[in-house]
Amino acid sequence: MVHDNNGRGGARLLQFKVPGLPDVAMAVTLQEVLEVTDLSAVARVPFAPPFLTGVVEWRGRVVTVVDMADLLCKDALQRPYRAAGAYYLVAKVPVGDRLDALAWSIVSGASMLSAPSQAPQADLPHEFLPQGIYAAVTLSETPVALLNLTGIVAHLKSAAG
Amino acid sequence: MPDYPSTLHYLPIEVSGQLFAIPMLEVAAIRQLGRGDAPVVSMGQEARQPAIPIVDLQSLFFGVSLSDIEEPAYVIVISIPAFACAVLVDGVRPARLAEPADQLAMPLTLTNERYPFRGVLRTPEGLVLIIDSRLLIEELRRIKPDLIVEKAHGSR
Repeated sequence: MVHDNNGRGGARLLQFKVPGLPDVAMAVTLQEVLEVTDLSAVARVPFAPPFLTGVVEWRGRVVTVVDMADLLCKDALQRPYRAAGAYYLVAKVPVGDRLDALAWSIVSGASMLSAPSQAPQADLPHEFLPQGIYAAVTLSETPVALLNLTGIVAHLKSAAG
Repeated sequence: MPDYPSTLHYLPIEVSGQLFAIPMLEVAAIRQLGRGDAPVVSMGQEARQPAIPIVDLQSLFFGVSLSDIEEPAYVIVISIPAFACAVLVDGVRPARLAEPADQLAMPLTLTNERYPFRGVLRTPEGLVLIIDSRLLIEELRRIKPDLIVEKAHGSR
């Protein structure tokens, strides 16, 4: 079941693909999307897990950049076989009782779509980090992984050790 | 936000092609290291100063070990109340000032003591992480207590 923030059935989603997982569509709710944009050079962060690309400045603040394919899926395509990302998706994420932003590269072709309140379950072609995905559903005949950004942040924080 | 109320005087260091910042208040000494030099440095010029093992910051930060010291290489003695350590870096640039507007907070997703950085600077070269010397020294102590030196009472 996909809901919008009023608890009604149905939600507006941004569907996209990420470098390293060309055969998987993912989505977040539009409310979670802050911007899809180009970002400046990413600064590496020592001691970070491999899926944490670094940090970048976005609208006057520092934002963590992750490699979503490496974060979610062990058998993501390895470099140099990946397509280059076209843009970065900057999303708002809860960290405790506060909000932060998280960015990741997406390939071109992102689209907005409306998800019905009841969408049939879908099988994904890879095994994903369980806490990183709310569910896999079929939207417009395409299996789509609905990202759980809260779970992703929890994984990010726990991976720091 | 970094707990500096105003302008930050910092030392830019180069590690594996990336710049980092050490607050100048915490820089006790800068030494140039040559091939064949012992991997220790003393706190100061006086005799009986403790020798501090030199930690290769490139190896610590990025897991890339130097098979040999490439010249020039520099050792920064970092000193906080009670403790000191010495780190080997690829390069050192002239000290700079960072205005408050260019001092940015670490993102909440990276606010964790495992990341020894207290903030980020906006510079012409891009973002530069400010080393949190206390957390760095704690990390070194966690790796191996001998990597840090407990300072004598009253010494800087």
